[in-house]
Amino acid sequence: MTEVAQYVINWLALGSIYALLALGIAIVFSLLGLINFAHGELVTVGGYTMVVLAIWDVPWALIIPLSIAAAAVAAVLMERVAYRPLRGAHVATTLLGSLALSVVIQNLFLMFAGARPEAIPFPSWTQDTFEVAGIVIRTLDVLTFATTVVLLSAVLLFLRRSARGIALRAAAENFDVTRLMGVRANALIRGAFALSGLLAGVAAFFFLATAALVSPTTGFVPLLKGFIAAVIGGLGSLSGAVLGGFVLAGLEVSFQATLPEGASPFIDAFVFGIVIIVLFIRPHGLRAERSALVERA
Amino acid sequence: MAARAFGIRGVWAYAQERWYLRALIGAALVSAVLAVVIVWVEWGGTPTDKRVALTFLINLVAVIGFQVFMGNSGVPTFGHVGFIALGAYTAAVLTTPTERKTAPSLIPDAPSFLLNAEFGFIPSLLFGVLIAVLVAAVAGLVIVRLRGGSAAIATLALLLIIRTVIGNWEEITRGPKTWSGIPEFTTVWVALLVAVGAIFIARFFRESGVGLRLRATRTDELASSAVGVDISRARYASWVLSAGIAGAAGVLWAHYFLSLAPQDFFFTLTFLYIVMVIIGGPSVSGAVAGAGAITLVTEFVRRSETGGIHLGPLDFDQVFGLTPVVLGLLVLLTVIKRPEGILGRWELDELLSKATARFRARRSGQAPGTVAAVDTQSFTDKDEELGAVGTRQQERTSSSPRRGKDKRSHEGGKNE
Amino acid sequence: MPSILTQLKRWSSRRPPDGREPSGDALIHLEAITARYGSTVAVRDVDLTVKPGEVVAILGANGAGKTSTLKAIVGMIDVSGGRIVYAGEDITGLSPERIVERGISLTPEGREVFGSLTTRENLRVGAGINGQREYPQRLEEALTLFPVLQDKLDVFGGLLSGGEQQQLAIARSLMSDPELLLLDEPSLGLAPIVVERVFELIEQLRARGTTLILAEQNVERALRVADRAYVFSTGRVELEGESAELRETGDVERAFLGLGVENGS
Repeated sequence: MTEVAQYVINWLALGSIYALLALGIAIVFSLLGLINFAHGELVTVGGYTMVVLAIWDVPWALIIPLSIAAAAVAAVLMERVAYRPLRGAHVATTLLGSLALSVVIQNLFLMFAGARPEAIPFPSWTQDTFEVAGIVIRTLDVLTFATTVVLLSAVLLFLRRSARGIALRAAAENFDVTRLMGVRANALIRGAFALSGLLAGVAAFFFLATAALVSPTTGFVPLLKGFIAAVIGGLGSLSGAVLGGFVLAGLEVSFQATLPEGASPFIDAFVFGIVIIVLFIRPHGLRAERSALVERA
Repeated sequence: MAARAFGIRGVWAYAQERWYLRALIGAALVSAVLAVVIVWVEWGGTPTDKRVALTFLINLVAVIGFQVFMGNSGVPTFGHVGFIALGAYTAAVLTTPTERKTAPSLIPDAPSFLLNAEFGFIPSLLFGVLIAVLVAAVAGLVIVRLRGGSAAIATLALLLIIRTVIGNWEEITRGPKTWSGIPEFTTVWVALLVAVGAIFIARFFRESGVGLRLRATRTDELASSAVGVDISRARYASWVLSAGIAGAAGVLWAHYFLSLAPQDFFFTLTFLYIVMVIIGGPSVSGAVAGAGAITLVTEFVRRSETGGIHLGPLDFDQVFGLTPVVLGLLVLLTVIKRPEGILGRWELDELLSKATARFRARRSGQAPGTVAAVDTQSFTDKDEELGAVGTRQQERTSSSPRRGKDKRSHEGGKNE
Repeated sequence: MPSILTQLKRWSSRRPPDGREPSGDALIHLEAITARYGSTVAVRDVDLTVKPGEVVAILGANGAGKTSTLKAIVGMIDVSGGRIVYAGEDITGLSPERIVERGISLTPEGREVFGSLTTRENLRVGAGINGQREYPQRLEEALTLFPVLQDKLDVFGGLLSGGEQQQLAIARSLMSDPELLLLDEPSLGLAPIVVERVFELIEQLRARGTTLILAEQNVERALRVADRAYVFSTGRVELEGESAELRETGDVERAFLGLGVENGS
């Protein structure tokens, strides 16, 4: 019984991280039809920012918001430097440009920070645990889940209620007509990237807190997970991305729980196989995330 | 037209009309250029140069594998490195001497038919290609039915699956540990032979009926299916064929580098090959040109970097990371400024045809592009894009991702 | 992206040294406008003037250049020649956002309501980020003009009927309180009864003082509501005049087909 509870907590915490990452990817995708392969590098940016700020003895109360801000800024820069010139290009072209961007950033870190992983001196409370009904729970996990719930609700509220959020959804559906309403196109896209960066920054904190290390290639796993989660949820659907995050985490945790020892390294392969199947069953293609409510001609 | 078949011009025109002759001439042309370069390096190059040349040939076979699928269908593939890995590991398992394999450090627990296998090069090549083709045949059933970017994502998933399986199947592949002791079969001439073979196969495919249909889908999916092209089938053919070629590259790899590790066949290598395809363009000549250009750039950058040790297969110097940055920037530049690569979309012989036609037209005083200027060209089987409105409109990202009527209206920076 | 040279030319021609230029009493004036999609010329050397309060119709067959002209006005396509002067200011080459700020609004062809947003949300977007303060009031006005939307406020745009969508699209354009409203083929694809309703609305808009440019294929109906009309054919203006006059002569049909006219301009 306690085992099940343990798994549930793992699932919720892991799912939260994946959901944050997936949502960041999905926001950009739903607006621009673009998969930002460099999204993982935003996590790396967050990590290195933490390292640097910690070296400068900045208190963690400041480090956290600053590293999140750094990720948001990095995202906006990405948009300005790499994605704006690619607007309107062929899907394949943009995919490859996105991949190139990711590689460039990774190697820039390699060049300037070195290949060796750097330790991040997380505050000690990230290692704390407490006990409830015989179950050992990490404070971090609870915090991860709680923060994610709050953050996602805020984002959702923003998208549903605020003028900017509605404009964002409108632009995701029909960019040109949205411009006709006087909505500033570039500002909107910038804002979307900033938001995705913010989500990545938050995810970075929770993701990195366990291993407490960052290296140039750190971003790879978050990208992979976030991306797969977004795909499972149906690329372009924001709520789908969140759902996908929890589904992915659920798959991983349940495979880990049920499969025999020897098979555990192959969990990833199973999951990837499921991704292909999902793509097959929902063969809408990357662009067809129209709502079921298509306007009539 | 064929009645005027006297002289070089006539023969050329005659050949242009028959796809197999076109393919033959085109492939022969490129292969000749390639052979000349290789002979030149072998004759007068330093040992380093020769090493670079051989690596180039292996990479070339791989890139041609990419090209056969990606260049003709327009679908990016992130999975072909997986086929290379399959070819390489198959070669390794089947040719490494039995005593090495049975030693406790390698794969003592493998099934005995594998342990006892000690094949030569030709069987190794055949099996390597076969395994790659089999996996591709299965995966392809799903992948070719996906449209839009989903296909590319699925190829990515395939790479991950292959990587995970190879990296964990300790009994057969040694899992994450390096496999060493592969017999050396790959000489520069073997590699050249395989490369030339790949060029011919790729070119014949491109000019064939299937290839042509596939290329039509690259330009305009909707229009081509409207005239009866079965997109999935065309893609499937190129998918399987390209996997076979990639598998062959893997075999060459194994017998040259003599040791393998799963991480060799992952994103770094994928990136390298994709860069080569993008830079060169979607034609077979483009693949050769791209592979050549990037090899030169990489060498240049590497020699500019001071110090550092360059180990075996990886062309990137992990300590510095400059090379990937340069390559990445090159890709970005290319996709933004000249998405069709160095050679445009054309094969070498096609470029020659066009150049001579233009030259001749100018000489006879006619404006190029008029009907008279294409007097010696045939209209059959050419996929000349006549600039129809709308052919480039499909599958665009962004600014009007779904329904924007006017794709040119996305001027982001206008007077903002 | 227009070349540096083109941008410089536009920029230097924008304002005459002494500030606003006299434009007669025209609200908007297109002068020798040429616009293109890539290498295809859609609008060629077009002169067009609209006075405040007028309803001007742009008529023509498919592909004649009606939509392109409207898009050129609102900044959606590149203008490669000529200029557009609105309320004394040269707005050629400005981005759509800037042009909407200045009081021009386009209801696009095919309505293009946001299917995944509710009616209410559609209208809210129409008000723009900066128009949120005026939004509640304008919403009320819109509902007065388009009472059929009142019950559909929380229905997704994609679920509305064609006629409702058309009304929503127009209402949405009105949310920015424009001085000049451009309507692109509002009757397209609608049943005759619905078309009637739409044109009644146009009459009401005119009565409120909104200046309108109406691109239409429904010549008969358009001429009834418009003061003046231009007839386009293959990107050029073949004929223009008071709509009363145009309805008398048979020139409109000929101009439509590009057959050349006897008394046209």
